[in-house]
Amino acid sequence: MAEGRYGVDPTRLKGQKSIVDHMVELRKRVAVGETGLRIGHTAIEDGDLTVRNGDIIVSETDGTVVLRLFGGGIPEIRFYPLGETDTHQASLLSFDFDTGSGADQAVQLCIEETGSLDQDGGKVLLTRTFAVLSHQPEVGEETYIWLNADPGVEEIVLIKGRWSDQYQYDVRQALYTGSFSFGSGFSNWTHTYLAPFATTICPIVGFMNSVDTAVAWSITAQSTSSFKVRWATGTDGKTINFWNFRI
Amino acid sequence: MKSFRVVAAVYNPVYNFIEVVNEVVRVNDTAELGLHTFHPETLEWRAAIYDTTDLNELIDFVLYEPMVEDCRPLEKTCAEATVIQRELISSAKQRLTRVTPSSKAATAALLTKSGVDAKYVAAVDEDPYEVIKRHCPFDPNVLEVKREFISMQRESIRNRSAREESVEEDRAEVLRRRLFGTAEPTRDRPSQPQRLPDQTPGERPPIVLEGKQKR
Repeated sequence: MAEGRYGVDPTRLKGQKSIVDHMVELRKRVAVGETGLRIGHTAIEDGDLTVRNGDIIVSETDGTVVLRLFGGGIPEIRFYPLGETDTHQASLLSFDFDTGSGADQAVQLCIEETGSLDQDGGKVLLTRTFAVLSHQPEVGEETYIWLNADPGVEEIVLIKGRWSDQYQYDVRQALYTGSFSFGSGFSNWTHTYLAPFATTICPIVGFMNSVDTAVAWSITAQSTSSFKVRWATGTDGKTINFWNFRI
Repeated sequence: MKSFRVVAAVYNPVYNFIEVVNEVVRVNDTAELGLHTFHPETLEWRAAIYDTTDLNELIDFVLYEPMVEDCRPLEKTCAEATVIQRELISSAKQRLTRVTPSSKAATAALLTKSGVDAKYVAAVDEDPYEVIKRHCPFDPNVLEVKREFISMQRESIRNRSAREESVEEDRAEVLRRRLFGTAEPTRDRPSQPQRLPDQTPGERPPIVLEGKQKR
């Protein structure tokens, strides 16, 4: 049926609707209801999708909410793989405090406690002025790599955390670090790695004599499995600090 | 290096490390003491890399390794690496071991004279290999996990050339990609329409969960 046919009905111009108009409108509505695009039409086969007050809630057939999409000034998506009652959730949110060097135009992906919304776990925070990859436990120290960390100085990279001390986690770790102190009487020191590295690893060594005497020394051997430091004179105690990089 | 011998071994609980004292006699007959340190888990790792669970042999591998050519065992199969390492270590051991080993009393005297800590002097009485064995874990279940990991690493190293891109002919194009590759992609995305002045952005009731307001 042609759209314009009823559009020019003189009774409508007077603000009156005939029964025919109502029937036509009803037919149109039924047709749209049957064939039109609907949320959840095919995407959710074994669950429920609710749209409420601007939020979208996805739940399993047993009512377990696994995903919520919030609108508003801090638009957010919350993931609850084990339901809303689990201790933690993953959140992806965006906020803008409009503070220039602060959290201006920010998007954050983080693990939070479900009830308190306290951050407790991994975090990626991208803002207009900086980017942070972090682990921020609710109890304990935060570890992060912060890019462009100083609003006053360009290009500053700030890494918070520490390097492991003489423990090798993998044959492919990029850095193997540590510090070892020992007493007098020796002329050389050899350190063997837990497992040989997958590729060449180059020792960078800091050599500290325990007495205030300059000592001639050198790295005299290096391989994928160990390195050796030898000194020419003096057998006082030493501290050897190393920062070995794998190439 | 004329000769090399392992003199004593102690366990350092502060670092959780094995410390091995060795004596090297140089070609000009001067003797010097060295300290060799390694983590107790090192033996398990050597057993995961080479085809042997003989602890004496594994300790030999660790102690003589720094003096022989690096056989880069992960770049070889387990069988190949074991053959090469055995050959390297046994020939080094043969070449560097003195014909007549000195007595324990003489060794203790040498250590005392060198001025090393008393703990090393006291350790001379015990066979260093036994000290090492006592402090190094050797758990078959852990070994199995380490073997599996090492075998994965070997496989990965073997396939490395297939993963790495071959150098392209067009150097300018390669350079362009490298230098400008991280630049912002051009996006033909229209910006959102401006809000009307009387609209307050995002004015909705605050999110309240379990009685607490979010942020």
